[in-house]
Amino acid sequence: MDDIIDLLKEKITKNLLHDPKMDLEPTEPLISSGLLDSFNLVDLALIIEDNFGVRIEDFELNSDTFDTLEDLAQIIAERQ
Amino acid sequence: MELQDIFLLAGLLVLIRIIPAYQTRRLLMIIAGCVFVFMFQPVLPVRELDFRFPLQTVLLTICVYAAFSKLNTLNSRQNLVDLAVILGTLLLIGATRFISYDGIITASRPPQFWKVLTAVVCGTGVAFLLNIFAKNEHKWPARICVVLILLALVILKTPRLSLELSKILRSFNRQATELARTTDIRSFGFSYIAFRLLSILIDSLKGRKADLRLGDFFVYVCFPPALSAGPIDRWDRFCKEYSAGPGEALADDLYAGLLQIAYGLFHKFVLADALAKMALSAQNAGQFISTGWAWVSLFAYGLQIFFDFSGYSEIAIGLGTLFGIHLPKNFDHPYLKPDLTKFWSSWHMTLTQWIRSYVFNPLTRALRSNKEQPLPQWLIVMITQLTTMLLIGLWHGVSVNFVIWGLWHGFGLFIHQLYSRKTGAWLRSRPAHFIKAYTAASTGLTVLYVVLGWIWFVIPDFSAAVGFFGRLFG
Repeated sequence: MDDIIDLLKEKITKNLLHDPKMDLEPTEPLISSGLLDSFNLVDLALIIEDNFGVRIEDFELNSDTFDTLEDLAQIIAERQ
Repeated sequence: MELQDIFLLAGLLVLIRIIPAYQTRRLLMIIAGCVFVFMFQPVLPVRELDFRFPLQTVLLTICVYAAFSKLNTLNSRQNLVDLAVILGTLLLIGATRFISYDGIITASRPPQFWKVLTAVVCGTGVAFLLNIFAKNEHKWPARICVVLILLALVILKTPRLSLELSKILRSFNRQATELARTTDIRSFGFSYIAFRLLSILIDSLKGRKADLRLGDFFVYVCFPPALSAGPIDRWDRFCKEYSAGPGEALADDLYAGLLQIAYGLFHKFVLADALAKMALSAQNAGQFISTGWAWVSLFAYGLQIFFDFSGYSEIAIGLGTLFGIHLPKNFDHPYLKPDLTKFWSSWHMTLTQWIRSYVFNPLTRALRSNKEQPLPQWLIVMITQLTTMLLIGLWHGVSVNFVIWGLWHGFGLFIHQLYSRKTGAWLRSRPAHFIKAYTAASTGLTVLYVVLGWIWFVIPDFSAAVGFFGRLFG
């Protein structure tokens, strides 16, 4: 789980938020806080597909399905 | 929904909820769903149409259920019971013709009984036929349903097509065709019903399995509190909660539900109705002499449409809570958001989420996935934002003003996306007081942009809308 969280954190801060120095906590809200916008979410789904081989469906890209790095890592681990 | 409908529904939903027998509760909800589709339908001048629209809505829902998945067979014992209750209710509603000349449940007197019986038998026959093919893994029944629903939406939302349909139906009924109006063709709540039906059809076409009972699906589509103005719940979330039963927290739900309804009633029937007296409208747009009053009327309209719509949503959510169904939130302080992207994540949230799930996300994914000849990022942002907002505009009506309103927001979102990508990291590194001041300023700017956009929404005539812009800034 920690490996998944670390990789996700790196990809999100570097590729999506263009702020590699940003400190992102595993329990920090990503979607409900507005940190990730709708474009970021699609990019995030593609990053997850490329790096973990797990598909996050279009209707799942919202804060009801996942909102933190921890939630997302959990989904990835379950589907891997 | 009028006040009496809200109180009637509130009482009825609590009564059904407290019935201990699960099966009785389910069947009564199916009957309630069926009855309220007819009760809410307004009177239409084209003969029999205010009966035929709700009738077709119910039969279409059965056909969609039959078409969307091989898992759902109409022949199972449970589904046959649900089907018998729906059809029996339809026939009983049709039979009210014999006891009243005005219509008890329906907007006007139902047509001759043989016509109702014929429509019910034909609709059910089509549903069984679709189900045979759907069970054999054919996808065309679901595709046909998608096309028919989209066609119905286009006709209902396009004034010119509605007018033509009214003329055709009037001449078929031997009514005066010169009296045809676009308002003759109104199917209550169909915009919301259509989106619920489309979501499950699209999911099933994409291979998602939905193992639902007919009655549960029917109640999802025709849940009376959400018939008039949403929210557009997701079928999987709704059916999971509904089939689990209302739970034990009756007192908590009653308190929360009634409080939510009280807020909704205040917002809709006090604030929105009071603001309507001074708000901008298509009728008064050309009558403003003073620039100051023009601005006041515009902001009054912005608040009126918010309180009106969010009030309805609160009432629907409150009514759902009384029954033990927790419908999703539809508004989350949209006028307090610092940018347009966050505004659209908090205004009519369930529609935005629907469009994201079925249009924006697949389109963005498709454009992004083309790695051999990648499109520039700004172009992808522009294509997806304009397409999405154009569709949201058209959902309100196929006319020039709604197209402009949609593009207004699409363009605003496009600009904000490009801008925020450049400034996001920079802004996060600023001191707290700077971020506060920046957020306050950007919130004001966002409200101004949204409120100016309402001009296109409220004034259908292009030159009158431009004239009103002139009054504001001239």
